[in-house]
Amino acid sequence: MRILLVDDEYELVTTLAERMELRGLEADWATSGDDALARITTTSYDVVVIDIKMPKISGIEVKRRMEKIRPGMKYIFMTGHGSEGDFQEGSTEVGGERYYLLKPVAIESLLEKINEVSGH
Amino acid sequence: MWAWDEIGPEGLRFYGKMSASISHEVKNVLAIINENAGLLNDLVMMAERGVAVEPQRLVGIAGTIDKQVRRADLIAKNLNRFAHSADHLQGEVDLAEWVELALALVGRFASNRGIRLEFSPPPATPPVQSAPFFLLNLIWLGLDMAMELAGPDKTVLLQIEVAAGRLGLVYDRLNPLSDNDWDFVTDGHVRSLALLLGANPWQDVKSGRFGFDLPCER
Repeated sequence: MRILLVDDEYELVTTLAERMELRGLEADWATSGDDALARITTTSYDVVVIDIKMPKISGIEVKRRMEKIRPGMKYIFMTGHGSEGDFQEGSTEVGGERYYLLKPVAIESLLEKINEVSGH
Repeated sequence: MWAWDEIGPEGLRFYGKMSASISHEVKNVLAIINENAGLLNDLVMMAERGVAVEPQRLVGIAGTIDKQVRRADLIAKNLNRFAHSADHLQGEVDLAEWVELALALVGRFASNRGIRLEFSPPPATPPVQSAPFFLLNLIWLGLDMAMELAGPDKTVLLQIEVAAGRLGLVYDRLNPLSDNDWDFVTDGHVRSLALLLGANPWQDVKSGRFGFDLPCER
């Protein structure tokens, strides 16, 4: 399974990618919405895990743009403490609060959601 | 007379906004520490199965955790100073220190908007008698507006001007203010806070600068 991790926290996204690789997943990462959008023009991912609050382009906007570029990918949002408004908008965008995760996230829990959303 | 009805709710909004941003920042730090602790566990399990783990790899992880602990410590220090700014309605304030604290608190808002905030404090600033929390609130209102009005280089330059009997905070490098339907001087929240603080808000429409002056004894 191929995963794209998008978060402006470099140390978070690289470590999470390494831990996923150790578990047999192919994990790429990007630290900005622009980088992530560039990546999906060349590569398709089963699941994209996106931070909601990122500089310049929000995670929700990144997801909307990705859907236009490459339809069919699945999404999970991961965030620090968002507002009630963020939660409503984010959980609606990914089809339910099950795929709107609050940091810090246990990797087993994240992998369970990834398997669930991707149908693996 | 300043309007408590205005500055009270505005002050609470400001406090809530900063607190929410700080908690978000702390969550990010925890997430990084969480992943690195998890990676250490992963490597221990690999070592137990006989896979060689390079010591340098462990040094790198320890370094990342140490860096995040220092980051969290700084966030907590800033939060503590921010929280205690509301202890007294009047006190001696170093404007340069207060601007630096405000910049530390709003860094995430700036990066989310793609704005760079620059501040070069003067060698010395005379202390001012002010309401510390509400002065921070006024600095934030100025930053919030300035970030909306930043020019093509997406930079807001903050400067402190020291003159006899007054101390000024200047928000510079903005688009000409006449291009916008916005006004620092007549904004209701700015006016109420300015009245409370004895500050004088001003703007230079053509040059894209605005700011406020505070009275000081020297």
